Amino acid sequence: MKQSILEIAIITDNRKQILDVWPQVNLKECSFPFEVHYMVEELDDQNRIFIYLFELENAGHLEPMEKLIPFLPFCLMFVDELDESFVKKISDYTSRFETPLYLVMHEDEKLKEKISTIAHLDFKLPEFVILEKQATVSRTIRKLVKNILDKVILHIAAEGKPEPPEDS
Amino acid sequence: MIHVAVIAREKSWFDQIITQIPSLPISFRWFENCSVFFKNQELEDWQLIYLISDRFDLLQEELVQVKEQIPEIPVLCTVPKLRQSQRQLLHQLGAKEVFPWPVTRQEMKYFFKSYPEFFIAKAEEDQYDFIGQLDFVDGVELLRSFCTKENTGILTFNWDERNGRIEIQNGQIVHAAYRQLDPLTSVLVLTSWHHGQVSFKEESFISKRTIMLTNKQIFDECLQYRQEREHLLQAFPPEEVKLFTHPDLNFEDFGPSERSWLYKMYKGRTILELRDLYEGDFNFMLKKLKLWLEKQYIIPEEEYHSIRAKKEAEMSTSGLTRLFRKILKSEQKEKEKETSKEQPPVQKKLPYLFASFENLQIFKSMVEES
Repeated sequence: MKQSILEIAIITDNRKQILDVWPQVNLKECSFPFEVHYMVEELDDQNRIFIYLFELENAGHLEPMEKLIPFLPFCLMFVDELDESFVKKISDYTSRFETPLYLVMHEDEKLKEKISTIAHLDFKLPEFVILEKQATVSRTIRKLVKNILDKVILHIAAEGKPEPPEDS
Repeated sequence: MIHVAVIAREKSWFDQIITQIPSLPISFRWFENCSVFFKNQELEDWQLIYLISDRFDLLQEELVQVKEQIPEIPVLCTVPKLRQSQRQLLHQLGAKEVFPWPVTRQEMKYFFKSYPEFFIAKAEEDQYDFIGQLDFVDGVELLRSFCTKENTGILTFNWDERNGRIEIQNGQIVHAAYRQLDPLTSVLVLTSWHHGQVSFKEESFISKRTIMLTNKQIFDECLQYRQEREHLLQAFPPEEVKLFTHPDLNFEDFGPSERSWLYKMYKGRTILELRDLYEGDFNFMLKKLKLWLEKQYIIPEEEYHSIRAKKEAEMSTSGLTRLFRKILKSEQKEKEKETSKEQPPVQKKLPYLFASFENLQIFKSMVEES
């Protein structure tokens, strides 16, 4: 039976952000030699989304991040407060990885302000995507992933596939 | 008071115009297109009609319609990217004056002032229901006092060349405009001013609601904005201490708007002087200044003077002493280079190695189907 798994990652040091979006989520710990947590969203019997949770400042996550993130199609970061520590996290990520990072923003009254704050920051920032709440949590996550896949595919169509680096 | 009808497809263009004009007794009203204007023509005794469009062909059509219906009222036109032949055509069709877009404050001032007969004020027409000075009145409390059920009108804020407005309908704040800021941020910024004049005039013709928050929520935002400013100001030295740009700062490393602010602090400015100079959202600017203070791009007065004194002392020493110091400095730098070679190399950015882009399209279809 052919199975398809989309592997992605969420960069966060605050599990509450995940629980706000995904209450009662079943966080599992990897059995293979990376001690990271992950979540699974099953689309159907054969297809699923596999989401790693990474903490940028956790020394134990350094090796798994370096081994996994380059091979993922994209990573996510949830935006609560746009303060200096958050901006520093984005800066840390973009200085270490080329894998695209998408900022996920909640659809609230501060959305416009957050977007204009991001536009004013000095360095080129990753794209953002708005979390559209659906009738169920599962649908919300699928809608989010679908929106991001739309952006990734559009980006590739516009700029072409990135060339893999030459083996040294 | 002269009454100007502004016909513009986008309300934001109207907002941009009215927040740029000087404090002249001019009343602007917005209409989305010619048909809406003709339906409401009887509202005022119009002295000018101002057509704004992003397309020359649409502007031309509107000018013809207006001139056919009301040939006696002068018409101004604004459209971007105008060629000389197009400008001439508009004049032939009856346009009084043609401005390119974006219209500058100087042009607007020049044009409106060339109609001096419009500015002989009639006392009863120019009666504002309220005029106050923000030096003596708190902006938020003032706004709160106007949010009563009976009030429908426009609260205008003027501070030198800065102009903004907050529109109230039946006591509910519905819209605000200040420069390019969104309506809610415009309310926060206008009510935080410590100088300038505020005036209120009753108006029945109010904009569509763009701020969806209740008054209570808006005032809570104003309070948070104020608290955020107080919190940010704690990172700075006392109000009377001047901040200077670091004498060794390389201005070439910065973008043009940052560079202009760093130049402003070249000879020292207090935080209050900077607040009065900055015309936009000062909380946003404060965050930037705080970062610069942490990175020592800007320094307090005492530190600045001590660095300058040291530099001057160095310059005034004899040439021989300076030469020896230079030699010693270069030796020290070479030593540091050797020790740094032993340090681990700076971490390289890991490349993007994902390659199954075709499968992403397939997966996206599966997500949609599920």
